[in-house]
Amino acid sequence: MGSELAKVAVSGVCKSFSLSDGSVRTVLRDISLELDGRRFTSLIGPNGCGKSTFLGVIAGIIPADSGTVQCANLKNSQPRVGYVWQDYRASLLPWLTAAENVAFPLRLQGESKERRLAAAIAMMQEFMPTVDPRKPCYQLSGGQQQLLCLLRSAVVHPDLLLFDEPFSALDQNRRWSMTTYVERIWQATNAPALFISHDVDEAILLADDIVLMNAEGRIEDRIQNPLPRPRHQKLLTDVQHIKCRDAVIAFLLAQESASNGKTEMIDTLHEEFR
Amino acid sequence: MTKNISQQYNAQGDGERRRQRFSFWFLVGPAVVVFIWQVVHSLAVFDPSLLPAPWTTLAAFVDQFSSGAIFPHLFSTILRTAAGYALASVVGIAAGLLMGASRPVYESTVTVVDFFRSIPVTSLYPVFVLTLGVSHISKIGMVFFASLFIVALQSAYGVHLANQTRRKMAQLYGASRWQVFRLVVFPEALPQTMIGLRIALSYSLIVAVVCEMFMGSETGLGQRIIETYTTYAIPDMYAIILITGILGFGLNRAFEAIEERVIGWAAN
Repeated sequence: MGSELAKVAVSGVCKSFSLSDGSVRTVLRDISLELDGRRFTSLIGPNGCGKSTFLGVIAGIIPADSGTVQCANLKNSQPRVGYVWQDYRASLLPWLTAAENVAFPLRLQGESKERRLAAAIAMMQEFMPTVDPRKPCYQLSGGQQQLLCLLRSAVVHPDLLLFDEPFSALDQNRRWSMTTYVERIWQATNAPALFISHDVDEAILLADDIVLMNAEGRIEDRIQNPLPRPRHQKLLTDVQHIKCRDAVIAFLLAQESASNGKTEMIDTLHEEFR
Repeated sequence: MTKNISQQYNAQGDGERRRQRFSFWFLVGPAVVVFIWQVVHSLAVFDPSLLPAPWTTLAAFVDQFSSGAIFPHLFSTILRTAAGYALASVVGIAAGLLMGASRPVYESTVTVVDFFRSIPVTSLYPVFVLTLGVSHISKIGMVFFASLFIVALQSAYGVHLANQTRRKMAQLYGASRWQVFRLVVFPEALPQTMIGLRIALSYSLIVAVVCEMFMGSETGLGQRIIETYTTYAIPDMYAIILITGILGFGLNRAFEAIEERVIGWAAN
């Protein structure tokens, strides 16, 4: 407790899976990362490099082979995690109303119906005032449903926020307004945030720290985005943003060429990007 | 603008969408059936005493109610159907959830359950008579048996189909195993369970009526159909068949109304 912001220190996390053919695949190699409430961290890496597994390990829903996750200055007696999945449809409960979905974590904690709904409705009025909280959640648009998931992750006063490609299932024009919501909700909770996305622009736009994970599941580089907050779409053309993007794209292209060996083709592509 | 859109959604949703409004086209089908019936009767395709006119049958139908003669039988059939069905639903859902939740339980029972589901329960009629006699109990027992396994199996499938992300979500937000089951897995198994319950409802009425026909009964619609048949009270026989049909139709409609309320969300 106290005025100090929460800190989460991940150190030496390793994880491998045994495949059905008997071989072992290592997806995380000695990952260490420090997160604190003032900074928003985006994790970028090629497909299948273990980003989602890493989030699951930090959240405690996937057991790691080794390594530790330590939290300091917790708001709660037990560390609480807010998590937003890519597939909002599969993570909401369609038999509940919008407000009951947002309040669901409070229900699990044994909060009375009155109190948990009041908390959920207050959040909904702040972030989505046009939506009737008593509506069944499946009647809302995709963006509104994902916003419910964001509010649900914040309703528990989390010590850590994890975003697993939260915008991938939304159409492009929705995504820019969603970045704003993510930033606002994150700032309202004061919790460290870790964000995964395939979209380089939105990952950079949200982040203070950009962590690059390579195909072997190792952290290869870290980049900082010093742009002021709140972040908005216009910053996409800011020179700082473009610097970050160049570095990230160079990294992703290098990963790509390392994986399929078609160096020449990638080089020409790279030229075009610049 | 946004408001208008959300109002439209409201009008479509909340279960309104599937409720049929009344239209006179619904009367066309029944009218055609009655017309064909009348033509077949008038042309004497079958002996007219064996296929009475719709009008004669309707008179017998009205008489069944105005004299009150049908009520004890109607009541008796409803009671047997309801008792067997209700018991099968409770036991079947409980067993099915258990089968769905535990792999060893599922694997050790599924063959037996699937086998008993596949036996036409009417072929077990002698077994029920030999063990339970010709009482109410044996008839309710057969209804129960006919419904139990299909309900259990569908309910187990429902648990198997439950979405893994939702389960993980609940665990992440601190749900106990019991909370995961009660608040996530159980509601998610409901649509599939309702399929089992719907099939079982039809089975229940069929089996109850067949039992009444052949299992030494003194009451019931099935008993009345056989009795009017053997005593050659043909218009009464058709009237009671009609009543049995209306009962089945009403049960299905009632089930649909309940289904809409319970799992209306699943249609989306």
